[in-house]
Amino acid sequence: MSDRASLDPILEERLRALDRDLGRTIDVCDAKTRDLEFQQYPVDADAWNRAFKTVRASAHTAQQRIEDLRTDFAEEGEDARGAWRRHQLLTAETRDVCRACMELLGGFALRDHMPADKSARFPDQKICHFTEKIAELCNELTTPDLNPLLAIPAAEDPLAETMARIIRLRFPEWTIWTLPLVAYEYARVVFDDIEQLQAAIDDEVRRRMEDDEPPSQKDVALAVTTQLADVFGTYVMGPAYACAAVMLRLEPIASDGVEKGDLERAATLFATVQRLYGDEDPAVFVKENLRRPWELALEGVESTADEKRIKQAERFAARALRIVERTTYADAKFESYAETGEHWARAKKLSESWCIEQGGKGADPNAPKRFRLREVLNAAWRSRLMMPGSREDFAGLAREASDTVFQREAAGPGEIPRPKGAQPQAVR
Amino acid sequence: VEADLHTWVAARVRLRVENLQGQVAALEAALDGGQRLDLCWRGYEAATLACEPLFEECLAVRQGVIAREAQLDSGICAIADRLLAEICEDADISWRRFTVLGAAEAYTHLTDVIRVRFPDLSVWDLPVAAHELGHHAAMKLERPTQGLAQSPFRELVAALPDECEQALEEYFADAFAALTVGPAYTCTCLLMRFEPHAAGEDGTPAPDRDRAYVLLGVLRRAVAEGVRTHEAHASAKLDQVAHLWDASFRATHGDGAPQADERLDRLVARLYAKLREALPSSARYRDSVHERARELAPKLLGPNYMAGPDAGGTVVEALNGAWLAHLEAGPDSGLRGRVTRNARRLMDALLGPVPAGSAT
Repeated sequence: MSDRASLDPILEERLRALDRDLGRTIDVCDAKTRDLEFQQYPVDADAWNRAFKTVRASAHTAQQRIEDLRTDFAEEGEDARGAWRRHQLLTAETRDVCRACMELLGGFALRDHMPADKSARFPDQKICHFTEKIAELCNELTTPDLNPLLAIPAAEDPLAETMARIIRLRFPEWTIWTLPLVAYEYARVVFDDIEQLQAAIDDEVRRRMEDDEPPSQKDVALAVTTQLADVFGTYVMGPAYACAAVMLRLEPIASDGVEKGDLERAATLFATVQRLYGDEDPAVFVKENLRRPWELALEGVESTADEKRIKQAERFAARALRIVERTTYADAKFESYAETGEHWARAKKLSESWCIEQGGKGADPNAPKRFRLREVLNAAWRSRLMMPGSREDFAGLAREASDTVFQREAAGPGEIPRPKGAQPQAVR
Repeated sequence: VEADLHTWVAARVRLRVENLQGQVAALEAALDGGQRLDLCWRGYEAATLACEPLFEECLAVRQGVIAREAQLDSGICAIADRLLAEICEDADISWRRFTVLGAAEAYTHLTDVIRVRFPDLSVWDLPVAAHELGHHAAMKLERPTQGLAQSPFRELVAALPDECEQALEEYFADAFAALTVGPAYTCTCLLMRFEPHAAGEDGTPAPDRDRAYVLLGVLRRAVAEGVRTHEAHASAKLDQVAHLWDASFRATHGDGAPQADERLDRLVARLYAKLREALPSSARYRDSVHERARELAPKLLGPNYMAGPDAGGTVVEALNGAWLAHLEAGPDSGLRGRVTRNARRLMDALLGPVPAGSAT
């Protein structure tokens, strides 16, 4: 260390502390200090390392920058003012890295501590597990060579969102009803990995930026990414996705004066359902039980949509649907009816049997015995909209049915059909 | 901690949840009663906004508790709890809570739980927990009078109407930590936390430059009044820290840190007077604490320090002893590392048997 560097012991002290914090963070990422024993949902070393990969790399980068700063200060003539300025940036960078690490740690810990008994306060204790199964399904249907994603509970707006490839479950919405929206979270996480989808986003952003008065490029990109994720979610999860999004997420009025683009999102969802199912039953169901209440809500609040942006969203839905079709495998689409694969007809039949049961007519002898996860979620949403008063009962039935699906899958392979032409591949 | 969470925090959260549920029920009644839909949606929006901080806090506290119970904090939260318990007992403050790991040091009024920043799990960061307790003290500390007890913080706000209340709370928390923890808090702030580069330029209501000025001002008054036997030594150490801060300030600004500021001098005088009236001498930094810290410092610099279960003393004394040893060690990083390890051993010994898996 040169004389110059020793001129400012406080700066040296700070750099040492930053270096130490980053070192501890790397230790956690390397699972060196991981004393957590996950009981309910064991996390293997591979999954742990994948989750922490970016955080770890960012910590190493920051450590290298600290070293560069020391070198520049000692040998390259960096002055004190410049060094302190760089230290300030490094402090912010380190804070973000540590925050991401903490968020992941806390998420893993909480994920494992959700009470397992059904009488506990978290009735959907297996929600992380269900979430991962849906993400796994999305992977199989889209990009089977991608690593599986883990799910953790997180705050509404996690600060470290970009630093870990992980599905975040919005606390406290750990229910069967929000599960279809996992497809949206999945899409947001993996879009960067799928070249065609990313190219589609870039094209659409470019197109919209050519408008007379475009909003900022960042806002446009966010809107386009969100709408594409909605199209993907509806394509894969079927009407259940549109139901979950409209009933639980979208708002017909601008929030606190800030336009969130919810009207465009709703238009995208309805256009996607229309294009997917034409005049078949899923589209009719959505029109009567979802679109109509949404339009009533819009009328009630006298919401004035920007027609141009609505049309833009609807046109994009058509384009996005074609891209999603080309990007995913044959079984990805939640069909209206199909000989193989998952479809609405069976979901409807399951839902009807639940409604009969809730109507006090006893168990339906014709209830389907074999069903799959997407069908269960669609059956749940259909039942909820048909008989809103029995929502909690339908949630219970859907949980039991989901459990049955997973137990069957655990017992033997092949319950979820392999995508056309896709072979099981090792995770990378 | 799990038990404490249910005993102390749950009641507060439950009350807040009940209030919000009442808000939602009123909204449902309005909807059933034919209230205009746009107004109902606005009400829904308001309820959603009100719920968000509660959800975030519940998630953060729950995660923090689990992380602590899994000993991801390397036992530092238990030491922080002990430090805060000492201060609360001496200052007669009721804070029946605990500390957990968080992404940043923080105190929230919603649950009163104090976060210790991950991964700052060293003894040097502990004094910042006292600052967070200072935010609690701003709301809860009372000055006894003949009649109703007075809040020194509210009196301060009333006495300084031109000052931003948010900034005053920050200064109050600083002064509280400086008076209760002593030079250790000032050392942590000036040598490890405050940014000389950004001091006064970042538009924050209480810039680091001003906080440093106020901290030193309050502490000098406390030393002059409470550390009479060791005043020369304590003042010399404060000068050493102030000099280091000044050098960093000079390196980044060209000029040294401000030496006189009428507005801040007034603030220092008010802060000290108000806190002095509310905190008994046993809660303030004083001769006996400094004496014990001076005794500890050479031991903490030694190569074979072994703190036994009979180490005795307080975390405040240990922190100040550690900082005195740290200043003595100078730039020798090996020696500083030894002080860090020894100080941690001492604090673990103060707490009793070291919990399994706790790092030193």
